[in-house]
Amino acid sequence: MNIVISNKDDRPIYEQITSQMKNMILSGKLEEGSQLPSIRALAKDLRISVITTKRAYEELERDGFIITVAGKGSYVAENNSAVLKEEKMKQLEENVRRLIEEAYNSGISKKEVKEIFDICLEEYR
Amino acid sequence: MSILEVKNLCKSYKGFDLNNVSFDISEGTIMGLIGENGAGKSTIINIITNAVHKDSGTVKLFGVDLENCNSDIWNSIAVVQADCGFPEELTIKNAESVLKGIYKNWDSGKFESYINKLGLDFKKKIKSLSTGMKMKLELAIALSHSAKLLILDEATNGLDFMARNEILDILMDFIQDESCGVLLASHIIEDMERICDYITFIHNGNVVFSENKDDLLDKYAIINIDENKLSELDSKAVVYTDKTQYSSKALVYRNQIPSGFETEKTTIQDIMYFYMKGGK
Repeated sequence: MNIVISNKDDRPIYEQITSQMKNMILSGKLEEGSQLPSIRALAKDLRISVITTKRAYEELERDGFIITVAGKGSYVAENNSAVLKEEKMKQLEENVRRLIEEAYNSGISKKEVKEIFDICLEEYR
Repeated sequence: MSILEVKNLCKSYKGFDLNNVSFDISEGTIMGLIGENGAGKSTIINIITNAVHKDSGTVKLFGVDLENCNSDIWNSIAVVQADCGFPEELTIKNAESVLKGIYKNWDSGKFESYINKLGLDFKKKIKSLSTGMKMKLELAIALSHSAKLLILDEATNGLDFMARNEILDILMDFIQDESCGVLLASHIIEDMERICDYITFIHNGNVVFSENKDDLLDKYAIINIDENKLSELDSKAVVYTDKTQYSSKALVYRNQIPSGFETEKTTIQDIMYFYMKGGK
């Protein structure tokens, strides 16, 4: 596991942690059932506030990515394909939104965007 | 449980008033106590450590009123200041024998490991130590008598980047034990702000805020725009503005800024600066 905290990144630190951990879980780099560092150990390693790592873990747990067992620690949740798929869909939606905005800013019409999208989709098949 | 609970603390000196200061340090957390020189930080620390008597208010250490604290409680508090008060001619080894007599929980093994880890030398005399080394010695002492509350009073000022990082690591090590807490008082916290869980900001003897640091950084943002555009913003969204001849910078409430305005992440240092500058 490797987490990069950047001061240049405009997102708050806990969000930088959650998004990187989500990606590691989605890509399988962090395997299901594997144990995560404790909140305090991670804070120490990254030299950040304990409250910050705590918040990151709480959000990961809320979104179904990890589970925390009192007194034992936190683990990557058992593969819940519905949760993973939903997260991937959410990421895809964000990416598409960004593309549409880019197209809009460059004066490309709705119809043209659709055409390009269809062509690419065809090619991929 | 709170390790330290300060409530409605008041103290008047000629020309200076500490007004109703309240804040709390819960177990396993680091509190940054910030404010410019003369804001009242040292007065607060002096009251907490019983060096100065308060006029009114309450201070509780590990749940016990200051007035009722016994030697066990005093032994579990360590104050680290930039200048250690040891006689200059003593070596670190000599100093340790004095300390053994003072602290009944003294742990020689732990002290030795910190001395080695921090690159200090038992044979060195106090007078030959640099500011950074003295500070590290103080910290090694604090951590060798099982202190549960560590108070750093302007202790990291003037330390170089390497030394500050070493101290960050030691503090993070310290709070791996959830029953410990840290009060980090300074007029300049720079890189130390990253490890703080809560920030209490003192200005002219008053608490401006005492809050979760992440919440503060979420709440505020910096905006760099020209004056005309600044006036388009709702005045309630702008906390403080800093105008110079060629630029305007403002501290704003992030959630009250309409899209289209580019905001930047703020730091605690920024927030402090804007509050001190004051004036919209």
